Amino acid sequence: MNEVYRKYINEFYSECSTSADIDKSQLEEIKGHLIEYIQDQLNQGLTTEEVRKNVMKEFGSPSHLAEQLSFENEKIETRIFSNKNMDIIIAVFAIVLVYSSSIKYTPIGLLFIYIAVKSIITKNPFAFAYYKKKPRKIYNKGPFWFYNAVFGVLGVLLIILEWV
Amino acid sequence: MNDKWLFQLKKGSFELAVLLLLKNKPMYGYEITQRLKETNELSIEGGAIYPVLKRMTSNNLINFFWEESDKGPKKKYYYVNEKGLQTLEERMEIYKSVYKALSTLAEES
Repeated sequence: MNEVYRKYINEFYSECSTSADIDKSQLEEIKGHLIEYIQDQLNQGLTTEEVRKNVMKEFGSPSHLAEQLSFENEKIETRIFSNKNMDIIIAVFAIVLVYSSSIKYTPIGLLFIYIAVKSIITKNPFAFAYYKKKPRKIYNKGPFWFYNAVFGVLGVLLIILEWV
Repeated sequence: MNDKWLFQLKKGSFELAVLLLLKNKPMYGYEITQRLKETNELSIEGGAIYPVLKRMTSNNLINFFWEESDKGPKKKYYYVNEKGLQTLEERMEIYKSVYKALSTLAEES
């Protein structure tokens, strides 16, 4: 098959392998689209270099395409967990518990753990605008995991503090 | 011309355009993008159509089936379902109302 196709699809597969959100059927779909697009371009008599440029213009770079697909998939999957009302209710409930009962640290500890767990599940750390612009970076080790680890550990420590 | 405004306007129209295309017959991704390119105004890049189709599928506006192809990999054909047809009808009514309202304002001014 055409060199342009081979190079693009290999890079695209490589980008997709770092993302758990892009499934096999989407890869097959993109593959088919790319093959047909390149074939049409070649049938029009374009050179390999012209086809390569048009492919990049039509699909963007392989990493950009993977990011587009991944981002949309994440938006769909996290819809269930994205209810902001639930976050507010849980936060208010924790604060009310702190003020109205003898339990002081446990509600806040549980709230911190909830923030960390939700952030990991939804891949949507609300406080980090960086990840809103580059959602695929979530899969890299770094600030995202440190941020969640801090919240998780603080939560556990607060709970321990309550009962020790 | 305000590109951001135009971008948002087109973005809001893609789902409607896809529903209108699929109302006639099932189509696969490449076919949809080629047909949209013919309209010029609703031209969309190859990769950009798939998030739209994914979103519409998860919102249960369209369904799909796979079909073998002589020329390469299997093709994923999309078709509009009942909810999609209903949504199409509702959105077209809204679109016509908005267009009518804007036209009225334009005539008055």
